[in-house]
Amino acid sequence: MFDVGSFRTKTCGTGGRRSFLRLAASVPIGMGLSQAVGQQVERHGPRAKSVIFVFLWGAPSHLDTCDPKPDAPLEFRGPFHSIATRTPGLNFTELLPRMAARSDRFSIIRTHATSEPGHPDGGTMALTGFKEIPAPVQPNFGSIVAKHRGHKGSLPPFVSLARGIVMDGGRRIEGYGGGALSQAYDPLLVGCSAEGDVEIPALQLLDGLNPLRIRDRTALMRQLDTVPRTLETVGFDSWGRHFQSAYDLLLTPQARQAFDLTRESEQTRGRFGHSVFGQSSLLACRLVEAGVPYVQLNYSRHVEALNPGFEFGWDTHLYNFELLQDHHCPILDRAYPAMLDELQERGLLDQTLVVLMGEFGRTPRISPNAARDHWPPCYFSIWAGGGVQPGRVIGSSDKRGEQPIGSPISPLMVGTTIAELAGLDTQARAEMNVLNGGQVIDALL
Amino acid sequence: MRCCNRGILVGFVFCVVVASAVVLIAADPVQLTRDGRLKFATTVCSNGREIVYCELANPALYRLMKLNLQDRTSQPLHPKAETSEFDPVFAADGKMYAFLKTIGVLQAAIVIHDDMGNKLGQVAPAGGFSGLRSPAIAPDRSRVVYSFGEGGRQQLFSAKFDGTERQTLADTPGINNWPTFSPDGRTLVFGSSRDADFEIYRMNSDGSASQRLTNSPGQDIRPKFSPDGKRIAFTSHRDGNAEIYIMQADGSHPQRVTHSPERDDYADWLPDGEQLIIVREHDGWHDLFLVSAPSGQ
Repeated sequence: MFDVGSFRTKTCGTGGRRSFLRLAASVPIGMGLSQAVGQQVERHGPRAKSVIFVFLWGAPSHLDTCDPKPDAPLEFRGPFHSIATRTPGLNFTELLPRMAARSDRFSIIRTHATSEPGHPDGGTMALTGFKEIPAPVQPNFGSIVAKHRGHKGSLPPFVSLARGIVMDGGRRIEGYGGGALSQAYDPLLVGCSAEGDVEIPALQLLDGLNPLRIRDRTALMRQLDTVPRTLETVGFDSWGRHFQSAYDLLLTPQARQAFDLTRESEQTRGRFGHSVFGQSSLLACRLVEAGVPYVQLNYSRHVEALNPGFEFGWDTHLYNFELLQDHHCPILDRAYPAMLDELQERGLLDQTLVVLMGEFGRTPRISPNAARDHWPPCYFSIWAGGGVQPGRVIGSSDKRGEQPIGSPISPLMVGTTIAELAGLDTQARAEMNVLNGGQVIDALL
Repeated sequence: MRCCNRGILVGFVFCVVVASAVVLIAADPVQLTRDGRLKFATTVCSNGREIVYCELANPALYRLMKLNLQDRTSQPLHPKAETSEFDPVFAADGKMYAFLKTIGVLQAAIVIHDDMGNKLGQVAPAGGFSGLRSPAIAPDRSRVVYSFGEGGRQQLFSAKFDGTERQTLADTPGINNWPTFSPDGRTLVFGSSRDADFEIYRMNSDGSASQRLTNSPGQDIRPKFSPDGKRIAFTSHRDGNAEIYIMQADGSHPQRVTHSPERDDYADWLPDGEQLIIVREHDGWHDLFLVSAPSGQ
């Protein structure tokens, strides 16, 4: 039984959220979707050598992007025109024409549901497949892949592209890293500016290493020369594993090159758009090309839009239609298709799984202030490359985009499918004691 | 004599070539900024000598910038602003301007300044998540018109500069946005989704006699009256991506102005009525460009 009532999730603070979602504990959320629950997919090694998890942090409106409802009443459908994609029967809104033109390269799921209506809990759920409470927090999907693959060479196995741990206001998202697997599997945090300058915050924690500009190799080496002296001052005990990791990779020319966007032509960089997300998307491609197994590409570090001091995320309680039209969709519609094109041209798409999604959807009914609030019962994801069959439309939402038709797909199933494609079969997951109870989304394969 | 004729002929051909080149140059877009940052919402001021626009100054801040058309330099309009400011608009005579300012968590107000930067008033949002949108100053500088969401709709209102004496101008289902006055102040044009996707409408400035001007697949948005009030520039997606169009003030004779594989948006007129300022996306950058406006009919 999957019983979804109404939601009241009008505030973004941690207090005051109430959800009326009730999940019958006895039945997994996705029961009935797969005809082959637990079935092993025959393979020889991972289908996805690398994974790029594009996290649209803050949660995009599904109706205004990839699940338009042009026949719904005006108070639901929103103001944007619906356009055809290359996939028969699949429409996007006019805000995503480039993505629509490449729909034959990916598959879309429009029946996601989560139990968590707020950003911190929803974020952890989206990144780990489990609730934040009770402790311990389960590991991020990337940490699972990182442990499975191990730390080989100078490049880290899990990179999160953001200037820090993703946040909701002042609260960090606990599912950002290794969780129950230990901090050893936390991601290396890497920031990237709209100009393509790369920063590694771990290195900022040491005197003498200010925000790092990889493009300036001479300055980099000069700064790195100061590290031993700094270590003598601060002591090796404070030199954590992450600092070592960052230090190691920066001393390795091959690793440094992976982070150096100036090695790309201006044309290539322009194709991704000169935005933080655009250049970060290009960086994700370079990291995958260099062999990084898992990259979490965050659209923003913060969920909020138009909050003083916070980056612009997809949490559009205010100015939803303006922000999608003027800001978010032009950036996304440039960067994501460019990423697919770039991976394809470099011969990497078949071996790179690219998953794009937020932590939930947004209210199908337009909110009183003419925007959209949180909507956990129904949202979408897009899957490309790395063992996924392209051009499929998996499931559909109802006429107003309020509920999935049929069995919903949970975040745990997302993580299980990612792990499966990355080479962690049922046995490997059980041995690691992760993603327990998860099922593979077979319709993608 | 024959030599003389040849000279005349050569001179004539030369003049034709030069004239053609001048026309071509005039028709070509002229790039005005080169920083490439994400830009929005242009408004012409100082009798066409300056342009104020909004840019994404850093990943967390919208900032108002002022571009000097003579030397092509841009400066922050409010260098000390610490919260996002956006949607600037000048009154027709340039003596005051309005913009949106983030004043708290998901709260944005309309702020009105005189041309010296002195604050004249503020239209405050309601409680909770609330923000006003798209201000327009009446040509007689008596009121501000804006868009605001209430009851699941986005309506058009008119108010004094302190937010008092609010009057409803457009109260329909859907989203009403981007109101702009005609030069004589009698008419407003705006975008609305009341019938379908965004289309452009006009109405009297008291909200009466609403009339639809466009009917095309894809959104038609951000209308701006020409300085003589006879034409309207707007952004349309009718040909697949955002391009600038011009139509007569009654909606007739729409004419495409820009032809770019990327996005052209946020047009405003220069006072001569012959050129438009736009924001063009080019190779992933966003910059202001000057484009010629076809004379129309």
